[in-house]
Amino acid sequence: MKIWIKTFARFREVFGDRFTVEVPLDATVLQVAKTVECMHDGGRGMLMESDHTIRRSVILLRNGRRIPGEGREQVRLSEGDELTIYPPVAGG
Amino acid sequence: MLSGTESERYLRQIPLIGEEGQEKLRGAKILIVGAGGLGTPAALYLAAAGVGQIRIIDPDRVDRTNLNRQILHTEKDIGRPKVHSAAEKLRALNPEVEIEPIEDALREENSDPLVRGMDLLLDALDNFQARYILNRAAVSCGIPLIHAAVNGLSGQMTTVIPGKTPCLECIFPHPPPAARPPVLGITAGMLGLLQAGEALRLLLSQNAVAANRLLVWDGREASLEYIPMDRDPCCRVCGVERGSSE
Ligand SMILES: [Zn+2]
Repeated sequence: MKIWIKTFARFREVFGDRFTVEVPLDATVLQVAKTVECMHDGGRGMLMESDHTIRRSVILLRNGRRIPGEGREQVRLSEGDELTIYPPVAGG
Repeated sequence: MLSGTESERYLRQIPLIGEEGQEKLRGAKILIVGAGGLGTPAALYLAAAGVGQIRIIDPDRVDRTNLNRQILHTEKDIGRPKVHSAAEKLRALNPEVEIEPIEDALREENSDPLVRGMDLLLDALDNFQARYILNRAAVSCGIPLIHAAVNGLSGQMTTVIPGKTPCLECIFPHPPPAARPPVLGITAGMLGLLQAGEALRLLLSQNAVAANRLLVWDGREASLEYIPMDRDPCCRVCGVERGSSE
């Protein structure tokens, strides 16, 4: 199935602004995130931790609504969903 | 009533905000936490606009690496406490406003007395540890807080209205990795001015543009986008359901 990905800031520089990825039917947020990270060599380690979980600080939204909590990686997406990925920044 | 010099100083903005609005600004008290890349441009424009009392806190001294973005400090300020360097320039710009420099860090123990009595708080910090302290103080004292942060060419802003909008811990339950990111001066300047603009809107009782959402500035394409944000009912700081299972 096709999932839309929307990114911001330094993720946009590496992955692009808005694009689709092709994933198996009923893929989870974690599977989609892995697919995105593997698209570009420069993206390695940006979205995923070394233990293959999604970086906890990264904000994820499904169709414009925050995917909250610890169980967010196991949320299953549907054909045509948009996953927004935002990496918060901390400098001042 | 505005004095003669005030009417003259603010001549070009009174048509926009009215004498009434100008008096509101004169009566306003704002705390700026951080006299760095975000805090200096924000303070500069808030002082110019006539915000009556500006309390600014920062524990650091100016060093040369600050000067690409911390626009109130100059070569001859190197080694001086940032808040005193900032206060001197702000007073020179606008002697009508009261500047209260505090050479200290915001900590758990001093946060409540520092924020109490303020109308508005500006998060011009560079780390989430201190931001969480400021956020807790804002929520517990019920004072609006304008957050911003930058990295490279991009930055984010959100406005916390305690009890109404998500707080910083709702939006950022896990801090981004601590780092000393590269920053182009204009990025910090953009976000600092966006904060100053939001501060003026709030002080003039207008709508906050960054409430309930994250405003994201991308300097590579000069774009502003908004990401919607919700309150977390289980938030440790402001959640309505926090502690209910204990
Ligand atoms: Zn909260």
